[in-house]
Amino acid sequence: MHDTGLEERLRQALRSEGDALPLTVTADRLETRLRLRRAERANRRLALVTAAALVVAVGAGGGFLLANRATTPPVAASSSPAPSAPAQTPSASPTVSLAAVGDIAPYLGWQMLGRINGPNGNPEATLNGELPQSGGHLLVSTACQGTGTLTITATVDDTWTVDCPATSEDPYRMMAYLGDATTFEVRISASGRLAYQVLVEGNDVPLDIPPVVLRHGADEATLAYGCGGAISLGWGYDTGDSCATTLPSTPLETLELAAGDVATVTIDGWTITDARATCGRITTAPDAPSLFEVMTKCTVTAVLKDSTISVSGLPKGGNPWVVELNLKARNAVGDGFSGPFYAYLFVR
Amino acid sequence: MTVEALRRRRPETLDDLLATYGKQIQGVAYLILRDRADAEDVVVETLLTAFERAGDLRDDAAFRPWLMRIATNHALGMRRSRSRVVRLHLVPEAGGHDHGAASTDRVALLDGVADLPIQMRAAVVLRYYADLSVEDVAKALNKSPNTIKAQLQTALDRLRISLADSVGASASEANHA
Repeated sequence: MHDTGLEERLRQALRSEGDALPLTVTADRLETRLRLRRAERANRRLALVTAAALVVAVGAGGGFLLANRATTPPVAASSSPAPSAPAQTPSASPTVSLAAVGDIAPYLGWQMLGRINGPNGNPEATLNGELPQSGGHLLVSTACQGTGTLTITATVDDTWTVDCPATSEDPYRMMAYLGDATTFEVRISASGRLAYQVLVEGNDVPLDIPPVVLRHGADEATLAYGCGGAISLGWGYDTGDSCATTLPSTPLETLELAAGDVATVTIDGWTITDARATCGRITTAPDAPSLFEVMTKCTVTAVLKDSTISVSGLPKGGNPWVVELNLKARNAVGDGFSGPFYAYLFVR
Repeated sequence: MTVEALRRRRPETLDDLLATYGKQIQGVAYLILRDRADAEDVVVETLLTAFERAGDLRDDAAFRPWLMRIATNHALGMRRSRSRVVRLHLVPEAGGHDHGAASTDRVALLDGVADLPIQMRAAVVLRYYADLSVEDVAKALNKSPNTIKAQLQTALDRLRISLADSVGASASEANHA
């Protein structure tokens, strides 16, 4: 049944969103890209000519090797042509060795749910099981060698295609959001002459943001993560809050300092790459979220050196100030997060 | 700009193409990919592909659907090659101009579209944003018209549920207030 009302609202919503972006592509950019494309194409033609010349040379050499193998046993049967194969088809081996694919390393902070190696004589494969927590995210990493295509479908009917090859060091990754599901299913359909490994991992959030703690001696206050931050995963996923800058819903912790003290922030396993601090107060209004308001009479300094933030310079006395620490950090696999963190600081 | 001029590959036709179709191609790509930089790349690649392959176009009247087909293919290919999912959860901005039910509707619909599977989302964008006929959407996505009709119907059903959930949530918030 047609719902013209809904269709019209959908049209208007899409137009308001799609037409809101200004067009920033220029004719110059088009012409530059056109020149690049033509240059790339010319280079590719040259590369093909070179490759064809190499094939002729290798073909002649291969014929010699094959002739020799007729009297010596093959070393690796799965990837070598049969001794009696004609010299002009050295690359026509029927299967691609799974060993050529290699193991995909688990992603830092994610829980492994299963691995599938294929195709094992069957182009279709399925992996299913329980999720370690209710809902969350599924990370599906794929490596393959040979030529062909893998079509992968995750629980939430999200389907994508992987064109082989993709190395185990830099696998093709996709993440699916499972809502409040308790089980998962990943289906793989292979076509072509290939071997693959698919690694399935789960996590309730795309990135576990570590605790950010402000310390002075034995005293410490864990900073609360505010709204407006962003995360990125090393393999190419990134997202961020689009909300207004509001304070966290949890109560802020307080760190007490003496005049002249310096508080520090370090994050184990992470490199802090940027830090800025401001201080001020919380403003509240009925039926509105609490907001952080910068106060000019409050000064604070954050100095970043060797991945340690040193916070100092707050005025002495009065009430505790709210300190907003905007920082960026990155870990060993290239995951990153940024955003505002908050705590009370009181200088006695 | 005429298709004939494009076939002759006159350099100035690139400017005309950009001025006439750039914004709509960008809109299609952005609504599919939800990424502004990627959408710009799709505009560039689509116009250059059209510039270089205008000779393939048999029916001049089908130029705009053909262009949208190229744009959609670039967008879907880019999504595959970038191997990432970007989910933007749109919320009405505090202090913005369009508060109220209409804004809630718009946000719920756009969130609903962003949550559709990529092929279904592309069908919705081509049908309701680019205003292509079902037959042209089917050609663009290399599917049968009946498949597209079914996909659009499923998408509308899902969007209706998103909308109802959103209205329910707003009513619940109002009751708590």
